[in-house]
Amino acid sequence: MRALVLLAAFLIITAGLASGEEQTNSGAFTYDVKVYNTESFASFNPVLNPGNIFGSFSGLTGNLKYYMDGRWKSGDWSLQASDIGYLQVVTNSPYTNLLTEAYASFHFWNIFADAGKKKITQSVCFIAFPIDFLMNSYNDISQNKSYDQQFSEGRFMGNLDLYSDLGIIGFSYIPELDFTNNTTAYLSSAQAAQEELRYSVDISGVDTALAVSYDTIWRMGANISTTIGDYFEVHAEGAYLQDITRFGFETNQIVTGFDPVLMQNIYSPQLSDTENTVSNVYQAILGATYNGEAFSVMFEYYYNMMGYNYDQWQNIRNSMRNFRSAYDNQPSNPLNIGNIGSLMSFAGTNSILDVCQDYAFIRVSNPPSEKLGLSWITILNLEDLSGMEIFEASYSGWDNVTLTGQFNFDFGDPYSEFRLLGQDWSASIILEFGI
Amino acid sequence: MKKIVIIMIFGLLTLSQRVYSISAQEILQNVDGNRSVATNFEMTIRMEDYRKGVLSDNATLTGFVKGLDKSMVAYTEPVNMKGRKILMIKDDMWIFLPDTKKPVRLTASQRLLGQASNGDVVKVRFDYDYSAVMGGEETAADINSENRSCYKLLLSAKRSGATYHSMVLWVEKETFYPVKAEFFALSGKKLKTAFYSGLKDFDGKNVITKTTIYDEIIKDNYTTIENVILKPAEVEDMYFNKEYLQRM
Repeated sequence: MRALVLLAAFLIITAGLASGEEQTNSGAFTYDVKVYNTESFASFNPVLNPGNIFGSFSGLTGNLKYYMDGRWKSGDWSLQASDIGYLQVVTNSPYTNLLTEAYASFHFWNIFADAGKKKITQSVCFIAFPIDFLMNSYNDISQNKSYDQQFSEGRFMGNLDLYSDLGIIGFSYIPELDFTNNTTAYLSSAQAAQEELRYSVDISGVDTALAVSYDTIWRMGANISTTIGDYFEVHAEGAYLQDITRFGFETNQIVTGFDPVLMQNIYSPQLSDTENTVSNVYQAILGATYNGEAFSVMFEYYYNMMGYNYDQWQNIRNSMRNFRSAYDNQPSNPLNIGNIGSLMSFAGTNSILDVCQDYAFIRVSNPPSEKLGLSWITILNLEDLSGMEIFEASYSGWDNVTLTGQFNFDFGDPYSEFRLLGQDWSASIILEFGI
Repeated sequence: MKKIVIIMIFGLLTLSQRVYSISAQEILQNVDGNRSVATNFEMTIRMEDYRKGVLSDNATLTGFVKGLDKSMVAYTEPVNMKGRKILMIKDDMWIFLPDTKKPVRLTASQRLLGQASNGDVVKVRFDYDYSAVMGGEETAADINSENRSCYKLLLSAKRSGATYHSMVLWVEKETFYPVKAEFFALSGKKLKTAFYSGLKDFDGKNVITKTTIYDEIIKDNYTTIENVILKPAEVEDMYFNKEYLQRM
């Protein structure tokens, strides 16, 4: 309730400012304020939640988000800050806030020096962003990827960008910071120490970018993009990670009883979570776009070695089938309930697009300048042939208001990635009010 | 007989040289000069879209042009478009969406507002994108239905990033002000008709500031693109870089 009052007061104050731009002798100040009200209904009945034993995941949710972006610029100095606040209205969960960016920039010669919390992106892809090594994603999996990225947060860093005729060289240093108390948790997530060196250049119409980063492991990536003829664009991006930790599970045989006839213990399978380290991991995306006058079509293929390969994923799916079958045979057996719970926990540690290795992405949309924006996105897991369809219509014909309707549905067999982790279907209405 | 033919050919060539003492491409360069204030300049553009003669949409953009092949415009109105930027470098074009902080590639021919394409706004040099040949002389009616004595230029795209495959451009003979244009697709289909008007003085230089583009089917549907502010400016090269868009 207190958060709603604060939000209302904030809106009144910002609306009172009436204009998004003010020019003073001490510099130019621009700001952007948006409020999003989202109402969604989702139907989600995963096979690992038989009879809703872990509670129902379906139902109506509503949330209120605001997004503020302010920038002051004077001569060679600029200050920029962006912030989002989030309130789950229907379930009345606590208000959360996240400072996505807040940094000062100083421009001298052809160099920009930044200090503070900043987002740095270089990816040219849409299904995933392999070379964005410095992004902390703010998870909002009910939304599609671009909307998700909109609310991702930057990192506290010192950053230098040198612009020259030979390209742009950037270096970022990120210190380790731990935000554990209640106040700082409203501003930022914790961050690990990391350094990154970047380079981007246009070589005869081909945009090229490279990035090398080190935290506890080395990460390296590159991308290229160019146009072919009047209507086609192609892009490719690849990343190498020294190693990654992947969640999995192991089946252990434990003693659950004693057979007096055979005079031996009775063993039953029990699941336990595990962490596996995989070395020399690669990710790659190949994409192409047709940009017509009336509509665009984008296709991307995504190879993600962080995920399970076909055989590994089939084994996991078969295990899930077996444990679900055991539960169906003996639903009152606590061990079976525990196993199903462990599988749910395993599913919860994975997110869509991270489970497997081969994905495809297709987006059909009209040009971004249209008042009535239409898009149809298909994301497909090529290993288990599950996927997601996202239909979105967005009307921005009013000066301050954009209304978006979104309908998603997932397809595939019940033990596939999207049916295990996603929603059967969901419908959302998003009302965006901008100042 | 052979001598007569040679004399006739020589005569025709001499006549054509006399009539067109300026080449079609030079006329096009003069047209470009009459649409801008300098090689590098700042601009504020007001766009209005009319449906059946009634104002239905509008936008204001500010930006920069540098040389022949670089320009950048940013929306300042309406509110829900504010912060969007369009960058053009040679044949490449990107739109920067502040929500995603990610430049997305566009093409010049995609619609920006009403009848206007991206290229109608960010591409200001015909000479850079089109090869011109003389199509004769004609009287063309301007937007106020007044007849003007014009050169008729036949333009064909010489770059992949050109907004239209071909154009017919009528240029007033006396002043080299553009009067009217017809835009064509690769198929030869006429897409739009545009009229040029709004002669204004910017620091002692007369500039054509307004383009009105009409729908080919519903004549009451049209879009105006007007340069309300044009000012010579030295613009740094780094402005025209897609990585720089989020710093602007």
